[in-house]
Amino acid sequence: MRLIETFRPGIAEAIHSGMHECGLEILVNRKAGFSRQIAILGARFGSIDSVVRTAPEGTSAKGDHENLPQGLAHFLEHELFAKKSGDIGKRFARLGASANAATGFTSTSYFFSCTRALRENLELLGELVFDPYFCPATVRKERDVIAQELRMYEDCPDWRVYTNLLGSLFHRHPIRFDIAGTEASIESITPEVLERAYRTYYHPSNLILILTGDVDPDEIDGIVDSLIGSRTFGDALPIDRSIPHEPVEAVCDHRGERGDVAQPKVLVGYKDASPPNCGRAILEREVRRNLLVHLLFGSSSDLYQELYDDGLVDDSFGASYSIDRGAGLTVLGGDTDQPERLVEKLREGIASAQRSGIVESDFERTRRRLLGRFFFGFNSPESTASTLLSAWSKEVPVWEYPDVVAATTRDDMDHQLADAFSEASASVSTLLPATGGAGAPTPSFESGVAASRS
Amino acid sequence: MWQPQGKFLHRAPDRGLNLFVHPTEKFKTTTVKLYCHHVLDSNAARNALLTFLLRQGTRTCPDARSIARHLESLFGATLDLDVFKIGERQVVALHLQVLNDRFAKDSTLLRRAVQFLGELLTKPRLERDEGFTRGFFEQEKRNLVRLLESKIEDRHAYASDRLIEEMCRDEPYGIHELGTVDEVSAITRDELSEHYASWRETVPIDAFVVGDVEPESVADAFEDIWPRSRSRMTLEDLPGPVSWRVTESKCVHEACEARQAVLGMGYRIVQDDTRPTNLGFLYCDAVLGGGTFSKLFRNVREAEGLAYYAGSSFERIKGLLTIHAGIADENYERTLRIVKREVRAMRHGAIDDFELESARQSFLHRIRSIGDHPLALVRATLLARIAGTPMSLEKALARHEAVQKDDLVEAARCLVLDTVYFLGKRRASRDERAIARWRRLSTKTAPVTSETPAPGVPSCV
Repeated sequence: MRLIETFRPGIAEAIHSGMHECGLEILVNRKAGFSRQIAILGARFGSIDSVVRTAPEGTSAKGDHENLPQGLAHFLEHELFAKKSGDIGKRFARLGASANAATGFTSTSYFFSCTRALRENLELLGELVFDPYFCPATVRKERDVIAQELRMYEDCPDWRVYTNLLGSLFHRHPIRFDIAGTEASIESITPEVLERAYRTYYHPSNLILILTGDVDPDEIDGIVDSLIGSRTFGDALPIDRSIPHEPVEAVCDHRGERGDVAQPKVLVGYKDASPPNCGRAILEREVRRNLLVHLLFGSSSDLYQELYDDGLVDDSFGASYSIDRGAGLTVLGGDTDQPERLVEKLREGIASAQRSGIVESDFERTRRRLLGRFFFGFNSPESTASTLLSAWSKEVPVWEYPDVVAATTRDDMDHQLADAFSEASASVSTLLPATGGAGAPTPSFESGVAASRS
Repeated sequence: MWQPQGKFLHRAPDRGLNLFVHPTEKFKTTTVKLYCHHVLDSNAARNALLTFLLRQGTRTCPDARSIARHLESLFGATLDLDVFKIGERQVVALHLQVLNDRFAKDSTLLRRAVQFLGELLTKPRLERDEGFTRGFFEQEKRNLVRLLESKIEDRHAYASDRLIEEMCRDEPYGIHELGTVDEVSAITRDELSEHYASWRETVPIDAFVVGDVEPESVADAFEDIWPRSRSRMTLEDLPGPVSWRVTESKCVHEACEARQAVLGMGYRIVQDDTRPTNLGFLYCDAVLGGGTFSKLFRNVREAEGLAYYAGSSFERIKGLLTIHAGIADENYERTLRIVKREVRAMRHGAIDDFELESARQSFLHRIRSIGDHPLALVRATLLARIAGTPMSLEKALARHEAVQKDDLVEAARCLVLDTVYFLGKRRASRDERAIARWRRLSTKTAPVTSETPAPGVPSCV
């Protein structure tokens, strides 16, 4: 097969891209001087892809839909490592490669890093992704492991306050569910459900192979042969990417909980009214909102310095914007002794910026920062591969990023300021210490009471 | 003037600063990492608070906001300050990552970044009496106390801190790198200002620079940032990084309401006449809990479905092997039993070819690719310096190739369970008898020092 080379002079990187006859997309970024090779096999299948069509195979007629249990994409990722001969991770280890996988909102990825035996590792990667072995016993065992994983996250206060925020912002968009599902939802996962989701979402035409590091694009034929071998793939099944309509309003304006924390945690979230779905529009939204959020709440902002001086925030404070298919979200907050006052101050800060606008010199400096940081994403084979995967899964033209940053004006900021912070689309999530007032030490926690010595 | 040292060029120390430069065109950014070395002692809390204070303001950037703005104007350079311990040393690390001059089309970027780091260390914003700004001092003290109080929120990190604290209660290693709430609360402004004045003049520093740079211009950039009068003391002048004491074996249970419990187990190296190599312990750690090929991953997580994570880590300077598992409360005894069973099996030689080869390949992979990660390369060099055992990567590869099953068995035989720590809902069952039995195994004790040569690629720890 033929790859097309595109040189990106801005970051001095050459990208080779092409498509295998089975529909698999391929991107190669050869990085001179690196010893490692990174391979990612990514699927456009994340936790927000929650539907399979149940129309008979071979028909294009619209059939019925089956809703997948929450956490299915993540469960499937775990389950693919289970083979008849045991965990395939062992065989990567034997080759000295470290293999792993990750599930996000919009993608699942399987990857390894190696310094030797690229072909053998690719064969294993192919087996990992293309030869599923779903059986009741492995599904049962994986359920226990994932239940432990879920509990581990539930014990993490930052995660809880964030998940609660998503739940109180979104009515229908599946982003409101945990990527790994719930202990109840994974109960309903069976080998049959896994099989149906697999057939829909793991066809090569929904996958990408990304190679970075010490990889020669001229050897792509051998590389793809190693990955695919003699496997053949039938026709791809139609994929339903529709996302349920999400109302503009938040579900509720506040959700509070108590737990084992030393200090209250608070997050304020603003949901985008009409987030773009893909393409340059996503990139533009991402760049503009990132600039705006950083200008208003970043460590170089007047507001942050004021909040810090007043003791209302510490290093845990963060402000970020993220966008996935159909869901855009600005999140502000951190640990504070005075959650209510912090929320009030943040709202005042937004109102004040809306009145006075953005200072030109701040805008220029922040733009320069964003341009610089773009390069950071191509610093290593790993970061390059993950930047490329993320762009692919969201269908975003990543190379246009510097242009988009350069084309952003201060006027754009004013528009964003008017749009981004609607109170109707906002919600607050708090996690307070289990008992006592703000800042009280964790009383439910008995330190060292049961120490016993021999 | 420059001597090769591993992948770095090393310049003879100047005013207490050892400079290491690795010129390479591989990266878009330049990594600058400064390590300030301290003996881990009662000054730990002061050094930690100092670190927090230094990033609040300098003479030319009077508050954190202006520091942030300065970094933004350097094309979004990132700055992280960190305090950690390696062996019985406390290390304050400053990490600056800056876009390469070439991409910024600005030939002064690196120089300005280095100058800024120098200013951060040597010219903080002070009041007229040469003391720290009162407002900053109180604020950072409060923030550090809050940070220490909220350690429990990350149960896994908390559990590993507590395990070490219990296990090394009477040794410097038991000191937390950030000190304790009481220690931080007791620090006064005058005392810290005085501490800083002598710190600035004497603290030994290692500086590492990795990126597309000219060593001479890096040296130039560093030239002007230190006071002329600075002490010549370097890392090598500090006392050895390890003390040694056998503590009472114990089992500690801490109650906490959580969905998942954490089990920690700490093993010490107790050696008799045999002298296993440090590499033997590294491999023990890897085979026991170092990855998906390890005994704990396969038996605790995979075969028994007991935990989402179960693994081990080895502090090679101090010579402690610790095990951590996130489990359901009711699986406490079972997990404990399995871990003990696996360690016992290793002592009796139950290490199969798959485990040994997987561990070996994983180490070799990391050594071969170490130049791909600036931070791993820097950290490996730093650890080798603290251990006092620099070694070339080629030699390290050869040593790893030569490791045999017997090296692991010999090392496993020297591991003695010291402390079991459990953070969970129920009380631990009585394990004293078992532990007492283990204790009887200990005869002579010895520290792991340079007498047991280090493998030279400490990133594998």
